Amino acid sequence: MTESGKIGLYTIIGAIGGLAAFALVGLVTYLKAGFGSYLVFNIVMGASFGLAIGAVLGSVEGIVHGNRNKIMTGLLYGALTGIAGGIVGVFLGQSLLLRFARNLGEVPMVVSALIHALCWMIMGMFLSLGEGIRSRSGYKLAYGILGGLTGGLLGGFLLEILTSRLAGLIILGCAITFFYALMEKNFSRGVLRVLNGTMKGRKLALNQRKLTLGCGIGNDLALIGYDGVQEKCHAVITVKSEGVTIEPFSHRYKVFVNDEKIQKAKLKYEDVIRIGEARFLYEVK
Amino acid sequence: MKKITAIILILIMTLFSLAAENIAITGIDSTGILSSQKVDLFITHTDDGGAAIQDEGGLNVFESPDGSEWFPVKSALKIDREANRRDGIGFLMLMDNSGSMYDDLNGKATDKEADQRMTHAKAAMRTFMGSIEDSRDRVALVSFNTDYKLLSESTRNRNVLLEQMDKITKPESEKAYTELYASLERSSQFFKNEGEKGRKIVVVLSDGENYPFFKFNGDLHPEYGEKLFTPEEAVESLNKEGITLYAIHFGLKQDPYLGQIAHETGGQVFDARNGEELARVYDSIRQAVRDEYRVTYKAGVFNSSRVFVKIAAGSIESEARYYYNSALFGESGNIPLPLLLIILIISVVAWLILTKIRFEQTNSKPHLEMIQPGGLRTRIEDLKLDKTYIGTSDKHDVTIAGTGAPSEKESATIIYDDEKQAFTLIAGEGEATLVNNREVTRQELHTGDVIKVGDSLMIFDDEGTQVR
Repeated sequence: MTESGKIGLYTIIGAIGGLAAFALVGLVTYLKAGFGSYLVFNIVMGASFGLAIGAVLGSVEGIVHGNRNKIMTGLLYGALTGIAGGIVGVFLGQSLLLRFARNLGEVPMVVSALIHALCWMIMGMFLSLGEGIRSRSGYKLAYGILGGLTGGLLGGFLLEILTSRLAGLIILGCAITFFYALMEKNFSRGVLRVLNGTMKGRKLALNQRKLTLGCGIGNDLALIGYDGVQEKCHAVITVKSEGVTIEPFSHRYKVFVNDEKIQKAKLKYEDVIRIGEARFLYEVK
Repeated sequence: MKKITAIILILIMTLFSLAAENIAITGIDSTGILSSQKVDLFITHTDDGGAAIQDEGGLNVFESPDGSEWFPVKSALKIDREANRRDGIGFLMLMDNSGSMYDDLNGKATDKEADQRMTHAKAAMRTFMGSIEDSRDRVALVSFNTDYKLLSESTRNRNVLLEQMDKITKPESEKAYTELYASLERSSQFFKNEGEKGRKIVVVLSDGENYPFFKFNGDLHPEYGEKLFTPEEAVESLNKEGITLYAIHFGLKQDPYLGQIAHETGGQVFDARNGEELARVYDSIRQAVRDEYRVTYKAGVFNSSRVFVKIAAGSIESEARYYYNSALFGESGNIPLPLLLIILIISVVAWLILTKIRFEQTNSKPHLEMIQPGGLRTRIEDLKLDKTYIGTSDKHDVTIAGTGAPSEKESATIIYDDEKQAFTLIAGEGEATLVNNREVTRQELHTGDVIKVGDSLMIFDDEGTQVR
């Protein structure tokens, strides 16, 4: 899949998240009278909004990689951080709204939409943290924050000037995932392109400090369907500011770089890696 | 004729209300509803002599989502008689500065400044500013005609406000229209921007009817364009902000809807014929608001965004008023439940489909995938079944970017070996040939081998393909 295709896929998934958020928020509105207080009601509104967007956003990397385990854990982590983010977003957004709106004079609609967009920006940031927390990756947290902020600001602005909430939420979802993907592309320290077998053509972004490769589903890069790959963990890739290195998890395991068996190798672009039957090309993007 | 009937009706109603015990919700402050679920009601409760009633027992508050089905408020009511005296009242005074304000009190044009309505209005304002000096009340001043002009922010300083008031001068004809409803609409935003927390009162003084610029001049209004404001919009905006409007007709011509707007925000309408009467009206408005007491209660939660409320004292009951419970996500609109469920199902199904799709294309022929920097497009070159020539000129089967000038000679050749059923790469002349970053002269190829000829990178792939 090309980079632009990936960004497109992320954006479509964001639209689905917006659609689900619209439906969930609508359903919660139906149950409004059962909440006992408007505070609780607004908390549940924020949580359900966060749940929908956060869950789909969390599952997106698993979908791109075709990795079911990653889809499910991503969905779960995304949903949890989304709920938390939705609630925090409601409070921060609301207090910002009150503070801002109170201190400005009469403002034209564009300015008022911009102020609302700032609140959505905060919300967007929180919704995009799930994948970073799931993978315990500083990089992912960083571009989650940047992507969420940018997407929330732009999507939120459009949401406020559009009169349709359905269209608005879909655009908000798209904007958050679009900028998330864009930031991921720009933050990534290169990709491993799978050259053969069941995962051929997939690009695995080196976007966290440490990645494990193996044929078990618990690995960051799960090489399912390749002979000669150790289940638990076969090789480890370490991403540091001075460079990207690969090494076998145990000295008994074989890892080849450019057809040469290695114990530890610093990767440069265009290097060809072989682990069992699986082959990869280390590319810029 | 209609107007006279309306005036008589208002007079009868006023007399009637004076003649009996009366309770009314004059103001609602629902700004605390999101944080503490509390709503403040400002209540005017008078006996048949019009004096404020002091007893605090026997009050009941009712809420309703639709104005017809009422639910009693279960929580205890907190009653504060001194709220407005203690916290002070925020007044926004709107002064009509249309052309007719410079006629005399009988509506005749005059050059004598002392006779002009404006002079009387200014005098009454001076008296009013004098009366607030010992209180915590705050006053802001706006003049309106074609334009809406904030002359003085909220202040307790008499001199500051009066100094600004004296800058009001007779407008030119273009500016002399009466944008009454538009000005009320704009005044509704004033307290929100000031951060005013206590009682919020707008007092409008007008000597004529709503007379919008666009409608009667034909040109676009410099700020409102073609928009014509309605009394309903003014009521809605004032109520949303918890502002009570008091209106004063100053002169013979009266706007037919102004009294109704005031009434629907919990306020009243008055007539004043000269400066002295006007000063008395200002004072009685202020006294009435000071006499209000504040009833704080814990609000119920309803599905509607607008909640109606009324208060009862013994056998008498107030008219219903309403407030808005704020929703961060805006109004939900009325989307039918089945439609919401369908949308939810659609989104889940769409997501499920995405998780099942394989996003990589499969190619059923042996091929080379040429790698472009940036990965924006991919170029696929199918391999021939005998020999595939790779070189720097256009005539080669696979054209690559060379390191030197284009050459007729092939840089590399890929041949198919029928016996081995495998492809083999043979290095040519001119460009270095590498497989998996190792220089080769002849090499059997496997899927995933990365070939580099000159500066061009390509991936060999014959996986799952049928050659013959």
